[in-house]
Amino acid sequence: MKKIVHSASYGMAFLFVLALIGCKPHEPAEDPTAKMAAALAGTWNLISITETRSVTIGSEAVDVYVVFETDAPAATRADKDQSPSSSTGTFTLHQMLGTGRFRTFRGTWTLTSTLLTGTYSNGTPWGAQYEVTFDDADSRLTLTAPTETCIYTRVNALPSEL
Amino acid sequence: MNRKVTPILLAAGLLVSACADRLDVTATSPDATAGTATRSKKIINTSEQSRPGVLLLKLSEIPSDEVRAKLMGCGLEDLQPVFPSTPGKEELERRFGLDRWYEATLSDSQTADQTANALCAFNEVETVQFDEIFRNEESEYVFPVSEAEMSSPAATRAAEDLPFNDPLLRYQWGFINIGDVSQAEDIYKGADINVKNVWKNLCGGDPDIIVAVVDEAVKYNHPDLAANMWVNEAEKNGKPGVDDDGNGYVDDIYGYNFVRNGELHWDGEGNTGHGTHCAGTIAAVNNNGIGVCGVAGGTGKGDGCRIMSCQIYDQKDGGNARTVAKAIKYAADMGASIISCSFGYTGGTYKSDAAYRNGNNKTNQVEYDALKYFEATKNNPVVDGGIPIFAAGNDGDPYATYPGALYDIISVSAFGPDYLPTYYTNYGPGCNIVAPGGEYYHKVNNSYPPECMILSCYPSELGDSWDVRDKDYSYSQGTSMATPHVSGVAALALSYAKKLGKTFTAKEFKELLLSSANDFDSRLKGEKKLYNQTLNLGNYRKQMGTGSIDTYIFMMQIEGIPCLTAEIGRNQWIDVSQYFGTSSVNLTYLGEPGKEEGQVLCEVSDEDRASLGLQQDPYMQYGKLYIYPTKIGSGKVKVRAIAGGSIIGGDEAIGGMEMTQEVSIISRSFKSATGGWL
Repeated sequence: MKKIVHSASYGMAFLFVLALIGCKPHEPAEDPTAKMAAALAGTWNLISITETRSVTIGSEAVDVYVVFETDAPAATRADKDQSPSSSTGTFTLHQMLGTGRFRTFRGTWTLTSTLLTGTYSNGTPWGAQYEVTFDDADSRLTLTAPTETCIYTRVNALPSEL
Repeated sequence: MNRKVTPILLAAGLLVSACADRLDVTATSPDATAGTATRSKKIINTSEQSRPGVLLLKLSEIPSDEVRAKLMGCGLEDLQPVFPSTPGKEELERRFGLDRWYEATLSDSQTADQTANALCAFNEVETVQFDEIFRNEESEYVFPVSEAEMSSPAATRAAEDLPFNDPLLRYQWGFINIGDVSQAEDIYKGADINVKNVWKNLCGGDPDIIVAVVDEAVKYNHPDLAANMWVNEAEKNGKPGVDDDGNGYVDDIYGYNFVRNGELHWDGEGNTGHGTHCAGTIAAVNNNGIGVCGVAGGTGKGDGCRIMSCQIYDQKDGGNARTVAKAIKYAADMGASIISCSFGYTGGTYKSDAAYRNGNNKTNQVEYDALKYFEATKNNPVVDGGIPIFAAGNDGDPYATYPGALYDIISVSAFGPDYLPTYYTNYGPGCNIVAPGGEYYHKVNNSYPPECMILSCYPSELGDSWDVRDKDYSYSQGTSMATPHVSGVAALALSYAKKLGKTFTAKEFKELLLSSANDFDSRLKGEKKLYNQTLNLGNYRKQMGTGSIDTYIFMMQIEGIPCLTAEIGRNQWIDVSQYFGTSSVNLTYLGEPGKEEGQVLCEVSDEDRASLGLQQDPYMQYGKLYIYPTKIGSGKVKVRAIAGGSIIGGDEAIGGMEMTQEVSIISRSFKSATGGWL
């Protein structure tokens, strides 16, 4: 009997050790919003506007660069009982409509799931909210508003004049 | 009978008889029968306020020896061309008739009126002009800079966010007005030409842009001007006493003294430092660690615009039409792009362009011909002609003085540190824009310090009555001081345009200048009390041109046609004040009336109307542009307005300049209130 008890004890201990080894430390599930925010970070140049499929509207050229910077990564977990995670950051927008000189706007953005919203530094909201999608290489960014879709390409640097 | 009078009368009778024997006129010529009792229509002004003993004649052609002899026979001591001909400019001189202007010096025994009439009898004489005298538009107040100001530490510059290290910049409220009540208790923050961010971010000047100061001499070796003086290298490196460049003037290294026909002369009794003060406002050297700043004085890298001194006043002499005309032609021939003219005829001398310009015989004044010659001379890669800037006058009259009041000439009124019209400024028709002119009598702790006036360079030699000799800076006031603010802004704009490779016609450039103005009318209510004067501010409403000059807006306009966004599917207003100036609400707009009162339709091409899907013409109302696009597209909208009056100036009355401003509209399915793309 004593032998059986000992064996059982060892077995229990063994099983207990196995259980310890077999159970990985708890890791949070990958946050898609944070991942998307990380992809958003960088400098983007507008290359297509839906209606015109170019960077002109009518006879006017549109030249737009946007620099997105992310705040410290969001640590929230996308648990099903919590609201969707969000990421935030700041942006710098350089635009030249028609001829002349680039004008610069700054502000903040918020990415909630795949919805991107923003506010200019004077408190004025963006003209629209955008659904964010990327190509596989994260080198093309598509911002889709209800009535307009714009495509941006990632660039390494702003033009020298900026 | 008076023994002294008889010989004179007899001599006069003989003279007229002698002239009549030499008449080369037909019997049907009206002037041949006019005699001396009737004033000829060829005489375009009067001898009042004119230089005695001189007449200016415009002849139908270069006189032959025979014609010359006939004219001399009317009792002239001398007859010489007004303008030396400049090599390479002969065709332009002919086009504007400058080659046909002559100065007739009269013998002492003749009265100018008599001789004028006698000369009119000749067909070869088109115009007779008395050599009328202009006034400079500075007030009697000139104050030195205090010892405390001279020793003011530059360390405050950082705290005040001043872009340059010139220690006296903080006292130049006309450039950057931070509302320092130690300068005036009623000072109005922002009452300046808005140049700070232009200096910081865009441009400080260009040495290829030359501004001629047509005035008393500029002290060319002033410590804060010397580096920005224009230099005639041929004369500087040539032989003293020799006209090295063959332009008709000897030793004109930094300009010329047209009063004495010689070297520039800024001191001596009767000289006031006026030219040096104006020059400093335009282009005192910036960021050199001393003194003051100039609007187009550069950024400290030798990039300031250049000052040319065209002296038309010297002590108590000068300021007459011939001297002014020669100075203006010189400025054109020697490379000036802008002439800054802080002078004019006595207010009310002329009440319309026709009265000033045409006389009664459809011919022009000598200085008017010279002005047109200057405006036709291209001296920079930006504009196709020269830009004259004139003072509106200091008589407190409800109209500008001539020649500034000419409808196509920019005339400048003045505001004080309180951002209100000064007590002295002219206003109303012919006044196109307003700029800082300074104003004494603004109180600070029950005293009247000079800091409420305009601080600039000054010839230290003139500080005789002060116990602060050797001071190189002073305060002064007048539309004389407002004018160089605008001249400097114009020079800065030319510099920026050159940097961007932009080109304009002179007309377009002037239109951009006049539309680069901020609201000046909204505070013109009630009264302004200053010392012992009370101004009814309502009298000045809509009488101050397009408003107060804004340098930054001007630079924005230089950059190009502003492109603004609109949202499809609704009628909306677009604020164009950033581009037209906040004065846009007070301009008189030109165009077909819209459906409602106060609406003025703007011009759009059929192509652009289709691109935007416009259901109705865009219109201006309450200073805003209203537009209703229904398609995503773009189009240009043209807005026409009058700058400096409710009517366009012309022969009949003093008025404003018509100007056109264009805006490009991009229509999208949405827009942000800021105009940002996202």
